[in-house]
Amino acid sequence: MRNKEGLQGLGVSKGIALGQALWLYVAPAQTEGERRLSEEEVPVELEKFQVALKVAAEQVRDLTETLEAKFPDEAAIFEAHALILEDEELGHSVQGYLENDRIPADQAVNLSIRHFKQIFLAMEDPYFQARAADLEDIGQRLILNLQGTPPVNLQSLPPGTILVADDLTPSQTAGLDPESVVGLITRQGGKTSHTAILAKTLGIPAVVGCPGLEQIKDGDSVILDGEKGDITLRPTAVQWAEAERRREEYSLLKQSYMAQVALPAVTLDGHLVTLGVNLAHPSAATEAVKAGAEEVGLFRTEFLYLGRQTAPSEEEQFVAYRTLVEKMQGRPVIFRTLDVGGDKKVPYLGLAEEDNPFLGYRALRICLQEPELFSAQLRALLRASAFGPSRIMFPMVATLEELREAKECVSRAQLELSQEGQAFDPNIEIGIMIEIPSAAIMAEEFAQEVDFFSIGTNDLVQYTLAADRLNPKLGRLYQNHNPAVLRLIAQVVKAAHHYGRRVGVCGEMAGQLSGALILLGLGVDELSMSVGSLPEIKSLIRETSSLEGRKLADSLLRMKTPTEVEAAVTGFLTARPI
Amino acid sequence: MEKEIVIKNKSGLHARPAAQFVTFAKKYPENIMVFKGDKYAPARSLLSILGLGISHGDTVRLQVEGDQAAQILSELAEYLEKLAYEE
Repeated sequence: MRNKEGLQGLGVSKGIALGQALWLYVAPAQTEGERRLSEEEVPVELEKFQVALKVAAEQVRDLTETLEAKFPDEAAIFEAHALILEDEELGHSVQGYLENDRIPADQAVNLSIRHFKQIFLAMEDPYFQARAADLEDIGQRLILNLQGTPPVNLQSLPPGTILVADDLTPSQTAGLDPESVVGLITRQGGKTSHTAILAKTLGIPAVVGCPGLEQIKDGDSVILDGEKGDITLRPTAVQWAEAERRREEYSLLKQSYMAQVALPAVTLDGHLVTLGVNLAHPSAATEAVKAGAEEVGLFRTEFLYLGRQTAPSEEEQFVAYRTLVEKMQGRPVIFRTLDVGGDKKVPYLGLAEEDNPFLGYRALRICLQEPELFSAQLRALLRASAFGPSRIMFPMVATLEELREAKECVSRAQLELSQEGQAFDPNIEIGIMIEIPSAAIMAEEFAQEVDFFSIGTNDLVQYTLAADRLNPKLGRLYQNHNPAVLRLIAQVVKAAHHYGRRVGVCGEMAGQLSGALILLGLGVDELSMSVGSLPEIKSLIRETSSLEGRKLADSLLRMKTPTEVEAAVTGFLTARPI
Repeated sequence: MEKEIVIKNKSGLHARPAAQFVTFAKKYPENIMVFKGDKYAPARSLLSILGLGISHGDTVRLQVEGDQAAQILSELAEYLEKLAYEE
């Protein structure tokens, strides 16, 4: 018999947890009361508040130090708490309530915190809304200190506990022991809450923002999936056994992913593939390096240009590019030059609205018409190349003339920089995105004038099949594995290799199991994807023979429909020994 | 003396970058003010700075008075610039 009891929340920390529910009731400290302070009591209460602040600062410092050793990034959360504790605005506010309203210090803290929380909760940005939880945490800490109540001890819970609560403060989460607390369920909270971040860091599977928690009773058996956000209550023996199997599988998978971070993406028969990541901001570089990325296969530079009134200066861009190059510690970075069009708001470019923005005035087409804009970016990129291996890549190239013109701009920038005595890499590699069918068809000619290709499958598919990938009604048409797309990719790889050029793929296809398998078979040298896909694709490559992949790809190239291709690829993947 | 700066941190000047900025600004004895639109806050108060709700792409004005103003403004701007890519 199948058990239908279940709840659905937001999965924020991956993993499967099985255990016994334990409700954590932490009633918010009560600060009600009619008492009013006499004039003599005001300085006494003020003194009590100062002491409570001091004690809180020490508690937070201890917490920071405990976390610092293992999780320096998360420790910063509590550094912000420490700053708020010493913030004079908080002090003034509490003092105001004491002196003017004559209410006790705990109530004064409560009202002050509530006031600041309101400001955050009124903001649209979820990042700021989430900070209200931090304030609540600080307020509770101060009130408990004022009332002389020790904080709840979460250190000695029975093993196999799944903690259930309306909400957990960051302080409570940071104090959890992953040895005993195997899972976490809260009614409140979102993806950017510090509780979610801390649970992830501690490796405790967690589901937040989950309604219906009152159905869970202390001691209930619970299964939770911290990725999907599913919760199974009082599972049957069959469900329990199944969850145990998935937990085991997940932990094995995680171990094998961890073990291969430092290993190369090499196939069973020794063919090496370079695995890179697609990034849109330099701050993501550290995580990419940690995950084992060998390069940034696509760096989108748009973040510098969007959401502002004037174009970014060369200097500003240089700082950003250089930071990224340095963070990658010698791993190459492929910079894609500006790729915007009429579908984005860039006020200073004065772009007109277009009926067909994806077929319109965009990307390189704009840059070639705006020499100053383009030159500032190229000069910044070239100057950054003095600090680590960098490559320049032009998007939306349709004709050889465009490529030649763009290369001319690079040469001009290089000439200027050398006359000014500025450092740059004189041998910097220049490549193009292959995303317009005309460029794929003319790949032989392009290969003779560039150092590398990167196939942007998202746009190549959309332009080849004339199917807008954002239109859900065209999902059946928009297919990576349409034989027409595969033949174009095969043709591009062949042309590139004929002239000794490397070919990468930086579209979504590169980060999907079936897509990566096909691309491996087609002979692509580099796959670039989001950081999250890296471990799965690496293990696919390490468990596949490139010869088998090639045979598969050869057969796919002779197929007539995407359905046939899909069936063949799925068949190959399921037959794969793991 | 004032200076305009575009905030480029991915998620704006929220907890961590704001805390770093406040810690940095506190080193100066001068009174540093941060303006966003018609709202403003002293740079030494994290609560007030967070209260401005500075998001990615917002333009803020920094204001400092005194002999060292120009120097301080350029140091603050440089620090914010650096901070944007350290997240």
